[in-house]
Amino acid sequence: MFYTSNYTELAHKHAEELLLRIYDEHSDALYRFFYFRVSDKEQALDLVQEAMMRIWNHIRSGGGIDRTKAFIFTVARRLVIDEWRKKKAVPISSLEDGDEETQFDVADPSADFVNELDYKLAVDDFKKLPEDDRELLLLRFVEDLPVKTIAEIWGERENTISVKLSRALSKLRKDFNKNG
Amino acid sequence: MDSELKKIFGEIKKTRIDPAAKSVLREKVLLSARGYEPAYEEATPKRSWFLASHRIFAYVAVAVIFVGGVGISYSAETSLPGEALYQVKVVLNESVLRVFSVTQESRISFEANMADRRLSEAEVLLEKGELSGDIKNNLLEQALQRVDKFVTKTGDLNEKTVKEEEKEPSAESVVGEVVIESEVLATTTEDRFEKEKKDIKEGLSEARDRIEKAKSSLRVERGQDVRKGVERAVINANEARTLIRGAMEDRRGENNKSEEQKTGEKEGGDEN
Repeated sequence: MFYTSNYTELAHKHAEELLLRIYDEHSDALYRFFYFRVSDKEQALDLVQEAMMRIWNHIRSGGGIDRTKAFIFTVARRLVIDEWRKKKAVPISSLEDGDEETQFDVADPSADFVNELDYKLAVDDFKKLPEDDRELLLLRFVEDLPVKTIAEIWGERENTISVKLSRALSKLRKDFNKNG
Repeated sequence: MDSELKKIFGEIKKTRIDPAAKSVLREKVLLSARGYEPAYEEATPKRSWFLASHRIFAYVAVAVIFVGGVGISYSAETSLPGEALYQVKVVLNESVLRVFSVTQESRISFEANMADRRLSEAEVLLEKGELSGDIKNNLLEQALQRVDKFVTKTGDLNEKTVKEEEKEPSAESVVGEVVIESEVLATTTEDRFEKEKKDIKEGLSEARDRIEKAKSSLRVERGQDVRKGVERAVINANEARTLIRGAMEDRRGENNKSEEQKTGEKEGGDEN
């Protein structure tokens, strides 16, 4: 058995443990966030890794993490925006016109242990929503973040988020009833 | 909210990373994190993860082939004392290696290889300037124990060789290989610590001389009395072992003198 007596080594080990704990507890949530923002699994996995590296940089620079979920989704949202800018791809705002519908890659149901019909039923309607609506609904109803926290992540007022959420939910309900 | 909508969100929540890919990605995250540390030389170069999506196919391929556990075991191979995966390397991987050492010769080689691994770890840590006193003593002690076992098992092989001498005319070459391994071990040990104290180098040099004599004694006896040659070879290998041990003990003296004293007494007892 080996013991580390050097403070730097100890600090490094604690930082690593924190990073791995965040990964173990939140990597699936990060993956969902990215998966429902981009068009494929591989990109989503790449983004999870990049997000973890940003989190690591934050930890290493001595930054504290009070509310983990709010923190990781802030990192995730900024990362998506940065990567889109870097790629000089279609601006996020223009993705809201519904064109992304044809780009969206439905997850392989067998890989996610989800009944194929159920999954299709669920995702087919969800994927038709605009990008930001998907993100809002995901954060609120899948990841269970309070409106206040989402408002912090988005840098908007709580009322604005509430209105947007309400509209997004209505759209989803309307689509679901239309198809169901 | 409508029950249908709840169902949709419930289904979306089931979207997760494939377990095998998750395990592989966890190791990648850890390795990449270490890449940010200047102390770790094997830093993974910082790249644009977003653009390099083809690597994910490699993750998945690895995941499918190794199914998580073996992937971890593989990653553990490069770990060093004090790291999370080091215990996996020492406890799991090396147990597997031992299980696969079936023949007597391979079991002897296993001891030499294990000594080599501990010395190799010490070497890497030494190069990084991270070879702290505790770790150094521990690694060299383990390496020493392996060399001791190596010599002991060589002695066992000698007994077997003597017993089967008439049936196995190739016994000489078997012992010859063992002696050569002993020489390789001493040579690599010398290479590793050439920057260290002069007396260590002298000890290792003498050890090599002894091993050379062991080989010579085999050559002299070739075609004549194999049993005597084997015995001399083992005696010389034992001498080499003692010299290597002396060189290692010189290295670990500076940090814990009382421990060295205790070990010295123990070793004295063993020799009696």
